[in-house]
Amino acid sequence: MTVAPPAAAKQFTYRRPRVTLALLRIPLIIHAGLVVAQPILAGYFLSGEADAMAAHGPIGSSLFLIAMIQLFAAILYFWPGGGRAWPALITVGLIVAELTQVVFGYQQNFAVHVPLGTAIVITAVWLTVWSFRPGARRGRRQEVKK
Amino acid sequence: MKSLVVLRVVAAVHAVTVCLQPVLAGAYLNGSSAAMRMHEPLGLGTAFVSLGQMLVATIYWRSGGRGSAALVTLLLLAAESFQIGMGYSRQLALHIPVGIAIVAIACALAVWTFRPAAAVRRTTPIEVPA
Repeated sequence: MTVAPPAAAKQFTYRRPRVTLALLRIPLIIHAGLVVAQPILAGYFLSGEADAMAAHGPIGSSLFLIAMIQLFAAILYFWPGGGRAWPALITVGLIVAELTQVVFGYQQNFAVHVPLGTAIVITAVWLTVWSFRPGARRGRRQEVKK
Repeated sequence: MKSLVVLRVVAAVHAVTVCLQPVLAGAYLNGSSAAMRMHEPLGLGTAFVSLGQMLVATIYWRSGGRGSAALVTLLLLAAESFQIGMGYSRQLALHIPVGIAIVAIACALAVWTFRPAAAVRRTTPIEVPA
């Protein structure tokens, strides 16, 4: 068995996202805050407070816009920030889920609206919590091109 | 830690049961009374699963695992008991947000038990030179 000659050692950098991470946290917090308000408002509505729907509807309809700002920040976090790509991918998923959620909400199809809403809240809150953990500050491995 | 394997099974069953609850609640709001006939016993059942999980998590903790699993299970047990009360008294403004929190915590705990950190012992044996 022949041993391959040592190739020119590849060099890697781990650029730590700092400014872009701080930037990403802003839409994440706003998004999570509004998303958490949704089940509370829905609960009040189902308890008989008809006024709660006057907030639940507009918030729900505009959530995807905040998610789009979040997507922009998540892309900046990936490049040039040097962070992971999956926060951007999850945000794309959230945008799709939130638009679907609006449709099922207006259709009053609760068999989809309630479980999907639960999933959206969990994902949005988890992503926000993650952004404050050490893992979010670690950059991805990037090869240095010579 | 054999107890970790048991904890994984119980936590996974717990997470699946808890995830079914919003699906059934949604089906009930769509007009299916059969869904409510399942939502109610399943909700009561999750509290009993929590009791079992409490036992397993405590054994896991005492046999070298993290104590946080038992603490989180205790929190789940408290939240589920509260949730049952709020469900029967139709306090939906509390029942729905608390329900989402329960699903989030139960799923997070189940995922955590399968992560490498859960298999790490709190105390590592130290070799004492003779």
